[in-house]
Amino acid sequence: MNRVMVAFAFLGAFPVGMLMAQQTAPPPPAQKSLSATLGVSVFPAAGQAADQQSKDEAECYQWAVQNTGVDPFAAQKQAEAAQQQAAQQQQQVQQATQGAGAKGAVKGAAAGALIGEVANNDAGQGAAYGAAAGAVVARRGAKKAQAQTQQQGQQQVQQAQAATKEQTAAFNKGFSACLEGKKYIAKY
Amino acid sequence: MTIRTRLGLAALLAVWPLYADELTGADAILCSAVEATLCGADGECSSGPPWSWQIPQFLEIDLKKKVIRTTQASGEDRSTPIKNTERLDGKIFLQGVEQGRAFSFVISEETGMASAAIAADGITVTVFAACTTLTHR
Repeated sequence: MNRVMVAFAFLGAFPVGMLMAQQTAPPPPAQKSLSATLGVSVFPAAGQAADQQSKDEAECYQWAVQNTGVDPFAAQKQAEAAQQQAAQQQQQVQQATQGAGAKGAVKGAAAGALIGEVANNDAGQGAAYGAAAGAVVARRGAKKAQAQTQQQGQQQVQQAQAATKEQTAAFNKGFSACLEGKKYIAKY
Repeated sequence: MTIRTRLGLAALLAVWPLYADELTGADAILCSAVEATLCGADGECSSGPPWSWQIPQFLEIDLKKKVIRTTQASGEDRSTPIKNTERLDGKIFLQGVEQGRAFSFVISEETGMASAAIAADGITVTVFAACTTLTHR
């Protein structure tokens, strides 16, 4: 996890409104600055005071959000939601897989012709004959579905993470440009 | 292979001379399925008694009429036509197709032991059986 991600994780539930409030009520000196939270190193090149820096950072945060269309905290929340959704999907499929054998066993019950009915899992009658065959087929199908869902979930998470990284980079670029306009040196 | 099927196989082997039979020249054969294994395309297999896979315990094979059927005593009244039959080098070969399933039997005329393979879409069933001549019906 890179520095920006660590910072986001640290302030994952931090309301953006509080960040905005820093314009009027700068945080106490012990509190982590906005730039530090965003993973941007800021040096007051013109000797600005800490409270002035906080105000400037808050202004630049708003400016960067408006100009890049990216709110890094919201983007992080979206990525977390995507991850959570993927995990839920995987859990649902796993639960379905566990029940698939029994369901397949019921579906596999059948009766009929001689060879044509061996290991028949197509009919739905109540005999126990084809039950075990149905269970094997159902487990196989469920395993395949589980693998597909896991792969899709991983892809979704990877895509969300890549998008978040890209959005964060765009935001930090705007945020740094704004601060440089206010005579700070900003590196990310 | 379950303990039950192992015991069944062991019991069959113990009474082997009485159970399997010389089949040379026989036109009607009675086979008793001993062990069946079902496998999926992913390699997952499951072994068990024949009835687990809807395989009749006893099969009558009529080589003249080219048909495999269940015994009258079973009350199942199931049958399957045999498409090809061939006797070669002390073996009886049977082949057929029914309801999306292809099947092949190889029966040793000398020992009476039979091996059968049934292939369906994404699934195979192998069956081992012991056979003897059938004089009635």
